[in-house]
Amino acid sequence: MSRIGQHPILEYKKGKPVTFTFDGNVMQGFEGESIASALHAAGIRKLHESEVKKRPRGLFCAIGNCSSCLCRVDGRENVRICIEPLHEGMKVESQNSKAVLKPVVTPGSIREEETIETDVLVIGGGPAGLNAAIESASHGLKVVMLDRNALLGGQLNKQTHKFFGSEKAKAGTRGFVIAQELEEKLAQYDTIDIEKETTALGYFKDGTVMAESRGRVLSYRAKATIIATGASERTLIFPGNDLPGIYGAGAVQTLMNIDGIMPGQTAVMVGGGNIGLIVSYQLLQAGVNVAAVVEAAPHFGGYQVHANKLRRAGVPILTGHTVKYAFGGDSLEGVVITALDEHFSPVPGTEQTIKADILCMAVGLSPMTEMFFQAGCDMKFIPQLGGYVPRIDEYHRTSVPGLYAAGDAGGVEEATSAQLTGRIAALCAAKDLGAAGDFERQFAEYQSQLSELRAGPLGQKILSGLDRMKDEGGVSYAKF
Amino acid sequence: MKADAVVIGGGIIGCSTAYYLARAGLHPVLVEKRGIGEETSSACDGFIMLQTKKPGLPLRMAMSSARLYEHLSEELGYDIQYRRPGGLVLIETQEMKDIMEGVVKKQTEDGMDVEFIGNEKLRSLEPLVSEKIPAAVYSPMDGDVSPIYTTRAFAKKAAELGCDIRTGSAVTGISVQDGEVTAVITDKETIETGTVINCAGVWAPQIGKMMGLDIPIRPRRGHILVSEAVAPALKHEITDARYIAIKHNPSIMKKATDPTFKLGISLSMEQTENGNFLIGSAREFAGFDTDCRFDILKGISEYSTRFIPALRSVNMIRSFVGMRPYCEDGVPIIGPVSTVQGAYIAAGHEGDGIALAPITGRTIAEMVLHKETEFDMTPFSFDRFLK
Repeated sequence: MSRIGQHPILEYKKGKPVTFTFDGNVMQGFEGESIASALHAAGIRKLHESEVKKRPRGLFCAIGNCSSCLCRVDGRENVRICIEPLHEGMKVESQNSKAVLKPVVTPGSIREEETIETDVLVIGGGPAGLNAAIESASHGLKVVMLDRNALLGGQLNKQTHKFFGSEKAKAGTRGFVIAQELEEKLAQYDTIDIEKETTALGYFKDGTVMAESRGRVLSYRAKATIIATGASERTLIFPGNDLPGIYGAGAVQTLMNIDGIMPGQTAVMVGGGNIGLIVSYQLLQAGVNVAAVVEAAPHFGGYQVHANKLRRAGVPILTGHTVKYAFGGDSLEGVVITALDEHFSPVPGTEQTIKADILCMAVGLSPMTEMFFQAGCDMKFIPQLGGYVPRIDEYHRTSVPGLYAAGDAGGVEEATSAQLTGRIAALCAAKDLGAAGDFERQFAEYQSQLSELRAGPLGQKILSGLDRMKDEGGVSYAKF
Repeated sequence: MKADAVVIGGGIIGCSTAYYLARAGLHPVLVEKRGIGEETSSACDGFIMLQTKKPGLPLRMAMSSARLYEHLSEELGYDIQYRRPGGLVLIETQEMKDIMEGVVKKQTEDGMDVEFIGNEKLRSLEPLVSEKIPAAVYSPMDGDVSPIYTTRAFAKKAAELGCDIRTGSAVTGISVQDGEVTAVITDKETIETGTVINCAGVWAPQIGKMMGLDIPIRPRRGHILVSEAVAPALKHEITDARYIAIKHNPSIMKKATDPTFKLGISLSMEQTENGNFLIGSAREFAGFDTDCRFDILKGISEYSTRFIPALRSVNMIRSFVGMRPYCEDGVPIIGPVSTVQGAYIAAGHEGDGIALAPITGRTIAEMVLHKETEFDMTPFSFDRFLK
């Protein structure tokens, strides 16, 4: 593994070079990049061993979700190094067993922090959250936005491709540029309080939201709370699926597109949806050989244009195939794939071995719904929307008064629609707070953009999911 | 269908009762509206702490129960993770020390092995305790168990011995004719029986009403915080004197000035086999509401770090509340109901259900079979509420 020298689209902004150690070995990295990225750049993928079976463990999600990367950093245990910024002189160690507690002899008392009151609380600073915050502020409302990362923009930061859709919905612009533009727009409002590196942890029945910010516990209470927590990546079950070198597609994007690191030499992509196709192309752009895209369904699900770009580069898209198992020592060395029959059962004798050091999983997303469950929202299982989602009406109100859903958290779609649902949720929250002046016109405008976006063949799945939502009573309490 | 006895409730008390009845050769039926151990018996810690029991009958029963626990894994053919590492009651203030002196004196009279220790000895036993905690009471008799495994193991063994376990069956009525129980009616069937044992915990009053009984039990909530798993660090079962003071005398909270005391927060802490800390506690009446409260979670966090400062470096990953069946006068109801022939109650243990489960089940079985019980159970009789 190494750093990407030249990228056709991206220029990497790096901090100053720093020196750190991993298990005693001196290494170089750049200030502010994640520790996991710096280790990858140095060729280290095995981060630690599992406690019981001593299996090698590596990076999987790169967004602080999966806890596969826990290490000891400067004596602190259980640190998620995929989201921990690197600093000069850090001592990073593999943590091969449970954390060991050290007695702290001088306890300070926990500071009694006041609950922070605001008009609108936005949880999550990705495409939905950023738009929700801007929309809320545009109606003169006071906003607090929480995001657990140091960098706002969520998954937009990793998107180097140009977006589709209407011009108003930022078509033709690359994702990371959209994130920059949104952040600039956000900065124009002094009524938006942005709390980075702040993780919302709990929604209590009285409307209090508990959050953790760099070791402090904070609490917020808002007249309207918009949950835009996004989604987390799924994986598949097969022998060897825990080997270092097997990543969620988002993690591969983080390594390449944010930190400028080659995740390996040869990749196999699992999943022929848009994410799988786009990330495969991004791998090629970063100089990685993509051996194959494997898709279990008889047809790939992504846009034809993305598939064509891969085909022109000679990448086979193997529909009707899946991974049988992965193999390797301390990290991935190859995968065995197999053809599937029409019942999705493996066809004996069709196994092929592909040597690869990257297996990239793009097999769908699940909405991050913990806060909705905690709030007691009425939840519905709608497979087209990614699984359990809160029952919402067309104004993105959940069944809990004052609580709104935006973006993938309320149903997995994609980044442009997340921006629009962020707008809609915030507009409707403003209306409910009596602050939206020209509601009808703006609502119709966002709705028409959303309809346009969903008009294509890929919108069918979302629309059928929304129909199902309607059947579940999702519009029954909508009132103008 | 017919049954020798019907046990209502698939929590730890009901399952223990079913087991001891089946072991005595009866063929009971256990009915549970949900699943085995799904409610309060899995929403608690696993303390088998003797020091927290009221001196007198509760403590003496708890000591007997602890002896039953020693062989229970073997007897039930299932590792219920019973351990007896000893327990510590941490003492923060002189006021609490005074209260504990009275408690310890009575516990010693009841035959318990307890001793006061100073900070030095305390920190040699439990290095994680703060140097600012001047004293503690130590007993080698305190232990813990997995309440979930215990409940399920009782049920499993009871079934092997001939108990018919009906989960997903809600009791809708109890037929009483001429002052005698004749049948238990569920949403699925009618079970003819002359003996019914109400082990429905916080729902015991609802069952009682079906026989015209007014059982003064109501849910008292406890909060528990769950930490990430860490390597074995805590050697003992930990509570503090305030836990005992509030338990034995709830009115003490009203006079308190410390905000955590006002909320009824005290310390209870154990480390599970997996390494997670379970940290409590609070006691409050909030009906059947099972939502956690932010102020209480914050209070428990703050209060527990006063005693165990190292907790400040540990991530809390979950929290939950559990219902404890609180009986009006603070002790359980165990025994027959004199006004309804064939009706028994075993409920209202509040936070002592896990510790007292084996002795409660065994005692009820002895009563049903008209055998002599180990203790005179008059103080726990339901008749105390009939005057």
